[in-house]
Amino acid sequence: MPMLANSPNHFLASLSPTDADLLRPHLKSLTLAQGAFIYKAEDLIDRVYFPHTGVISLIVGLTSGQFVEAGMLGRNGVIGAGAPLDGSIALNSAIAQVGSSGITVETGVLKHLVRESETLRISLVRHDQIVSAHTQQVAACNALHELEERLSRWLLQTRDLLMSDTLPLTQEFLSQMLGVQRSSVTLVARKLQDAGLIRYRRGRIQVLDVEGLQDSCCECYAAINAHFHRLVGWSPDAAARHAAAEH
Amino acid sequence: MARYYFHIKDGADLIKDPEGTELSTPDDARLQALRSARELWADAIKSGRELAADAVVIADEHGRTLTFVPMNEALPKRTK
Repeated sequence: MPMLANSPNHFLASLSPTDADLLRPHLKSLTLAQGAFIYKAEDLIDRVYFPHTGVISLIVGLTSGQFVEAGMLGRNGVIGAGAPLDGSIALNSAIAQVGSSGITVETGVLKHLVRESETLRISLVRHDQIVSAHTQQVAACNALHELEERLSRWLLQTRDLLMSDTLPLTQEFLSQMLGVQRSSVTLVARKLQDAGLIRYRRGRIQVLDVEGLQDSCCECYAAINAHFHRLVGWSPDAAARHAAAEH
Repeated sequence: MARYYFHIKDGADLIKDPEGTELSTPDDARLQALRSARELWADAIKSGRELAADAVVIADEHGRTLTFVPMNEALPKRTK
């Protein structure tokens, strides 16, 4: 098992050496194809997932069959952090928006370990809190901000998690995640492309101008990053520098 | 099931849907185009900007235009 301090996942990389030792015997690998669910709403969360790569969308489903994205996580977070803290029933569904690989630990194991280590318990509480902070901001954003700003934010967040300017996503998928009609995405994507910020073709969006997208997005991008920095010590720039050091 | 493409006609410009959507029938496609048109109107009105669309054009996977929904058709009627 590689050193957890070098883990691509921020939670694992931030563990104290003692907590890393506690977790190390229980780590299992997991790979998820694009579109695979980690859990669905009301499922029992039997394992906690620490992504290395890819993007996991937390989505809220309605009885019509529609669903809207409430937030997204990847190497910066934990999927199911609340489960070992006695919150084992899934409140939403978690789907791999982009194929993902990473590490799982069984919920039952973590339930025992958090009783042994207060620092481990606190880390999981923080990562559970970041989901709340994130989804609250997205709720405000969805209610009040225009699609162009929301889409710009969404593209920047996805780019930060993938650490790539190439986003393997369809506009159809975007329209579902953002809760808007298909053509609204067509129009806004074209506007961003005409402004030189992105270039899209079938199934793929290329980010061309990050600063331009930052100007185009609402305050919610910075707000979400501020929550991540304050609660769990993660920020996109740090992740990019880490990636640059790896190459 | 067939793949329908929802392009936006804006004057001489055709803003193309790069991927399309799988739907069961041409009627479903028309309903989708109507819903799209309504939202385009709603966004333009809320933001105070001009509507940059004349019609939602429905095409098949071979690029053939099947039908189109003029934006005016999507406006709600005033009943009183």
